Amino acid sequence: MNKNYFLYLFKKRKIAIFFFLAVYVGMAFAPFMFTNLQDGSVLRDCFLSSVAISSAMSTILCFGLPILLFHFVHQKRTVDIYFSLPVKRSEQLITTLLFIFAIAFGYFIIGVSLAYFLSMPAKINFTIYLYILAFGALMLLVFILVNSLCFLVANNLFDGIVMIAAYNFIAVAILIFMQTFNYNLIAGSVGMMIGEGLIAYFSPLNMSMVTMLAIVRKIYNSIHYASVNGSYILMLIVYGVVAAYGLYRHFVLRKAERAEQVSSGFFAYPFIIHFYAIICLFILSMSTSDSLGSAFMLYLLLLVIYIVATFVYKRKISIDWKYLLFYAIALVLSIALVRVGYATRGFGIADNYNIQQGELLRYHYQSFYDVDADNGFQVMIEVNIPTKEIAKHQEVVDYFESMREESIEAFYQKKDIGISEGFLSIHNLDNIAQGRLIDERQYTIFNKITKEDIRMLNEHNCVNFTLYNDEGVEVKVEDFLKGKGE
Amino acid sequence: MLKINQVYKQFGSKEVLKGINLEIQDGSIFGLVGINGAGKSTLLRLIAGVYEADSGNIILNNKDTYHDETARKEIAFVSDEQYFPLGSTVENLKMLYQTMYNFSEEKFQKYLEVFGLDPKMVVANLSKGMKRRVSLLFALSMQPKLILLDEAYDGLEPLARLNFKKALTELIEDEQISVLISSHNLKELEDICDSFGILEDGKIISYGDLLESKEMINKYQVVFTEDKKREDFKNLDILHFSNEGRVCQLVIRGKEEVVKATLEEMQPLLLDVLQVNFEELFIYELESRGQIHE
Repeated sequence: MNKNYFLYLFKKRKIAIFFFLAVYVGMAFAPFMFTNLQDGSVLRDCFLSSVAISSAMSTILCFGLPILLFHFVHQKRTVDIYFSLPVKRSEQLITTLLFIFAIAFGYFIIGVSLAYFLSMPAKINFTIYLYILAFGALMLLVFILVNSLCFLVANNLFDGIVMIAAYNFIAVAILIFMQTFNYNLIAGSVGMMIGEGLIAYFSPLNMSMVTMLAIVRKIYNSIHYASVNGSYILMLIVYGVVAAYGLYRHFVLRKAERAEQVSSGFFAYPFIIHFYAIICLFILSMSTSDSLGSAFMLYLLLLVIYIVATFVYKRKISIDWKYLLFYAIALVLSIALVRVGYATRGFGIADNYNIQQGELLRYHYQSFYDVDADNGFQVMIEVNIPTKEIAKHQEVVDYFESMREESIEAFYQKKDIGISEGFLSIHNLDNIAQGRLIDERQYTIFNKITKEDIRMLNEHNCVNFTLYNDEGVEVKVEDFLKGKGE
Repeated sequence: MLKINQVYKQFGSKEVLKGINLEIQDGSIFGLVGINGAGKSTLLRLIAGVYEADSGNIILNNKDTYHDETARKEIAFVSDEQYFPLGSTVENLKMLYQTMYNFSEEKFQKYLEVFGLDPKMVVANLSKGMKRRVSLLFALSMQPKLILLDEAYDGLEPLARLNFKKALTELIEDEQISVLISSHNLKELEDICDSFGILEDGKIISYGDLLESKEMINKYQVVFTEDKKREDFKNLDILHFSNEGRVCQLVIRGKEEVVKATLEEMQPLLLDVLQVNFEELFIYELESRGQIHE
């Protein structure tokens, strides 16, 4: 670190630093206003709110300050001044990052400490306070490194801001892609999402929020709240290390002549534009798989947006055939993916569900209308089978599996069977007990369950029924089978 | 002493500097001239450590100006594109130079007065010339060993130019600093520079002591008894040739006595020798290399 440069950065902005400190403290204090400062449970809520506010405000600083303090690399005039200073580039980088960190984390310490002090009567564990500060330090440092890198992959101020927004939105884009993929290509995936757990790893913001909340909620001593996910912390460290290396390349080794040029580095517009073009094309192809004709206008609109994005990137209005070719190839691939997805029953994913040996398989059936064609009964069936007992209840498993197979087949054949009669969900019960993501499949069922089906299922002790007659009165299954209660 | 050794620089596929070699002695004012796009600003930015040379190096007092930050502490770079943050005053700007350089408050106060500046002035509101004065004020106050001035006189009125030249001369006399000035105003450079370099197409095509160079190039007006062509002066280094009938005007590089003796051998009716100024020297050098059409 260069002491003189740090001092210069501080002196230049000291009025703003103290002004925003006052604003920050006021915001962190806000949850405690009009609050009974002796009520422990209320104080815990206030503490949580105050930590959330401090986290949010420091996070905002981690987005804004890199722009403010690194913008000089994007202007020729400022490059002349700042890159000719008698300070090593590496020192200049470290000093600037530390300066940003000192402000964002310094404010955070003050905000959280104020909240902790005001919450003293609630006897909040001091260790939790320390954990909050420690994780806050990691979180803010990673944000600063990542956002600084996003800003510096560009070659001008506007593009730098675009890059910060674009890179931070990547996780959302992947989430939308995965939701569309699951909903449109995987039969039975309505109640779960393939890769749900992985998407969080694309967003340091998301991982940090979840982790910070998990730490702060420890003040409630409740088992109902999720514990801290160690892999998130590890992943944040990985993000930080990668961003630090990226900053070395984009700041220390930066060619000063990049200032005010087109942002043509691979990780600037070339990556961002093509990434979003591919994601959007795939989302579009998956969600409009029923009719290519109706999707034509949407494909055309996306092409226009894509071409306009290249104009913004190149800062000139000219159409390059390479972009048109890329778009055409990506379009064909996206349609091919959808076709292959349908032909392979969702790449085989639809046929499997995650039940391991020694776990508990649960079927849950619910009819919306009648059990039989005309008796007006509604039925809910809950089946819990330990995997080791599957053979014993093979008849039940086969029954629901055939129901599942019928629904999957209808999904991929795009059969329009009519009004659905109910739904069948399947999941691994142990996942809930162990706090894992629920691998749940949910299928639309088109055929009504019959009295004979119920009779057969009732012979297995793993099956539980809840039956209602047409007046909404619960009826025992034995009575129903004997014809009583109708 | 500033030494530039085989410096190459290219932007994308465009080669801007192609093997620059140059030495500027302490206490010297070096005028760097060249047509637009010749690479003058690029060379200055390389010396200032803003750009990194693709190959070669630039050494100031045994320190590489790009890789050794202590070398940059001794360089004051006044860029052609000046930057002043919005709302900043002369007093605010001082903070940067005070913190990062060997700043002299005494000199700052002195030149503040010389340039007629008020520390409370909001720089962004000033005219181009006044902004240039602010830049020069800081360049002179940070006690450098080398001052790099890109388009030094741009926007300065005659009195300010005079004051600046005076200040530079004083600094050179007192502290033996070096100054490298790039400017299109060759008349101004001629007044102050003791050495010069002509940069053309990424190369230094001519450099050396300004007085000596001027003495080596003279303009000769000669009247002969018959019409003469350029080919008739093959044994002379002619930079420029024009004629109207028997009256020839020649710009010739070489010792005046030697050239005169050669011309007299051709038995002219009249022979006149005129001095060239820096601007003419520049023009004839470029003309001789085919950069300017006769």
